[in-house]
Amino acid sequence: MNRRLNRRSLVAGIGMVGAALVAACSSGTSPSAASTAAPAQAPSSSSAAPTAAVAKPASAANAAPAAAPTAAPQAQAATGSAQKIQMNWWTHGAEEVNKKKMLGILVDTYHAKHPNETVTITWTQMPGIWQQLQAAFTADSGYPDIFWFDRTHDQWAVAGWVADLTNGINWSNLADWGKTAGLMPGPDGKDHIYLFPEYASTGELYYNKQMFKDFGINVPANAQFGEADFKTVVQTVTGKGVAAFANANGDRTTPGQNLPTYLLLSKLGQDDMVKLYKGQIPWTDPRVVAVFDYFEQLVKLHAYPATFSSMTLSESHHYFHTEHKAAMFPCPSWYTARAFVSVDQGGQPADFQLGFLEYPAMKDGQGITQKYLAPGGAQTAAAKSKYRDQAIAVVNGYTDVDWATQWVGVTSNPTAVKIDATKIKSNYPSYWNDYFKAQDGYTMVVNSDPSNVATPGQYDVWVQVVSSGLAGGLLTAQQAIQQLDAGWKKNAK
Amino acid sequence: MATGSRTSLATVRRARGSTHRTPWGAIVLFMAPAAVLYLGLTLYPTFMTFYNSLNHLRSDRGMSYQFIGFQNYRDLFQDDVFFAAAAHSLIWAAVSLFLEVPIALVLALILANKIRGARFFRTAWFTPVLITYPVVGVIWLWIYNYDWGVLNVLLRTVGLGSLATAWLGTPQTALPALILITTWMFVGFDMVILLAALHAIPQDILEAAAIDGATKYQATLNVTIPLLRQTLVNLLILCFIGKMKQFALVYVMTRGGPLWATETVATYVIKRAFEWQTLDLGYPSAIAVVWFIVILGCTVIFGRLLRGRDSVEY
Repeated sequence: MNRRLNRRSLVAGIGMVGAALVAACSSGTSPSAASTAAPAQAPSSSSAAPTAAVAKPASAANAAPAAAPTAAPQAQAATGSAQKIQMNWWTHGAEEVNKKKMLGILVDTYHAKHPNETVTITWTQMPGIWQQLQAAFTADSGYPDIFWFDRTHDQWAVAGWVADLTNGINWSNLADWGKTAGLMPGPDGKDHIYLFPEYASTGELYYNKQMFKDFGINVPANAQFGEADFKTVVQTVTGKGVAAFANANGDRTTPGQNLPTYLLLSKLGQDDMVKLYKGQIPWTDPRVVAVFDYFEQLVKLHAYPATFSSMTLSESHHYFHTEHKAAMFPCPSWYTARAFVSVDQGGQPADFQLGFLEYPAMKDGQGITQKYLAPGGAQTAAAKSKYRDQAIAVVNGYTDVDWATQWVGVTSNPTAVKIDATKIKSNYPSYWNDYFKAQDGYTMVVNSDPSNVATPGQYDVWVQVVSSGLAGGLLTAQQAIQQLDAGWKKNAK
Repeated sequence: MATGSRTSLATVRRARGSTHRTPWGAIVLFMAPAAVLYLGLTLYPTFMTFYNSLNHLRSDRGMSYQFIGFQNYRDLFQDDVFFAAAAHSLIWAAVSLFLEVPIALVLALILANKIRGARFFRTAWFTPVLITYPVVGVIWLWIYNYDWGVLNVLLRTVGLGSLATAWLGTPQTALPALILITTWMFVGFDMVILLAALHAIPQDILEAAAIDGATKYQATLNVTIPLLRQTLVNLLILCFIGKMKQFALVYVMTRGGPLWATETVATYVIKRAFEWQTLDLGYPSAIAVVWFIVILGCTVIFGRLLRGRDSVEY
């Protein structure tokens, strides 16, 4: 009898301990409350103005409101209280010295206005930050108050993890596209603004002016080659033993897709291109086939470096501006964040002659004057942060016109904030003249690349097939189209 | 006689019961920490993974469960990427069995013969296992670099420049390149274990073989290696399990590319759980369950096939 009782108590003891542990493990997963912010009226989704990235000198008088940023009402209330507030901010950009400097200024300014509040920045890098954030939000604990965010993670907005920024941000200080870029469905299925664009990122095709000159390549007045001429340029360059493009996929999945996405945009135009990514136009469409065939021809000319699969983004910059091993660099306008630093930090040499080309105009193209514009990065606040409104107020610091002007001068990254371009104090003044010229006459296309439009499964297929397979010369155009077609059908919503 | 034995046994048990009780309190006290850890950190997560795989589990809705039966498994068996990942993991595990342990055995036998510099070689060969995967990944990214990586530089130096290739950027070479790295990493570990086992073999057995006229080669083949059988089997099983779970190296070096050529089941689970942004943990759980069963099944079969019935004692 005694023995039975003892055995029972052993089992019961272990069971109780186990049950307690199970209960402890389960208790952390309380249902997440959806963001309670009021639904906002969806702003117009039409394309932003061609010069949206930075107001040009000509329109500066109209485009630079001197209004100070309006802090969120709640944050203002917090200023008066004696409550000590500690906020955490996780952001990408550990490698970017200039960005670090500017965010330091932003935080210091905030601290000066809100002495009881402290913002601590944790610098990290993509892609690791995405897993860190998702793990924290899934666990419903340990997530930061302010964090790096982008449209490829729009499910986080649906999940209610991201604060609605409709209120608390001085949107009137931004170009229209800045607001549009942040629109995505929230927990209620309606569009709200969930991200603040840290900087404007236009798709550029940089080139080495001196190399073009040495190779006898004349750039057209509008800086845009036609389909056939562009192929000749690639042929000439690679014939000299130099790669045409400095892109490589060593630590990113996107560089290999810069050119093909532009060729598709040029051929199809925004509307049909979005339909293609949505699966409403098949990949076997003759226009798409023509683009892929053309791209395959460029790849076969050894347009990409032999080290395409292993070279990192930082190394790509060096490959282009220091080693002169490539003539062109298809890269969004955040090129400057890495290039415009001192040479010992991997920056572009002072004598390097950087030029702007437009992406080639495809024959019978519907989008030859269209250009990608996207937030080069974005910040937002956590919906369930204890200090959500204060966190939004910190993000609102980006809308300060003086700070934004300084941001452009220091980081050489365009901004969505409407600033007076003549006030930019930059070590690279000629860059800005060329940059504005490169935007002239172009319609900006927002939220239209595959990562924005396709499903996660489709995007995975796109990355592997186009960015890695086709650009890496591992697939023919026909094979790529077949795989994309199959992948799109299989991974449709 | 038999009845008498039973009677005496019962008498002894009764006698013990009255004087010597089992100390259940102490047993519970001493077992509880280990039991709690095992229940909480092994059994419970395993059970939950099984359960999760039968649900549409939304991590964004406070882990809300929607029971969907075996739908995740039906989807899984139509998933080409999963089958590719499974094939890569199996190839990795199978190839490693024939590379890692045999090389380790050869090295251990060399060192056991007390060659000059044995201590240095033992340390040098063992060192790679002390380095973490991310660091190993970065080192080998440099070695495999097309332009200036040691491998291609060597090939070019000896006039074999035509063989220089983007080792990690070509589907045909990417997986073998990774297998080579894990072999480099773990050969030293296996070698040290085998070396310990070799030192445990009594010298008189080997001396007896020598007296019987066995050459050193014959003694190694017919005496030493059979005596290492249990250690070799254990190493083979550990090697197999380890390679079936490869994740960190792939994640650091190729992220499953190019064209899914190095996708393993572990990397695919992570991608589906955290990178696809579906925020559904049910499907990745189904992958994990299937792979758990595959590894368990293979390990059991392996054990039965390799261990043999006769154990050698000395």
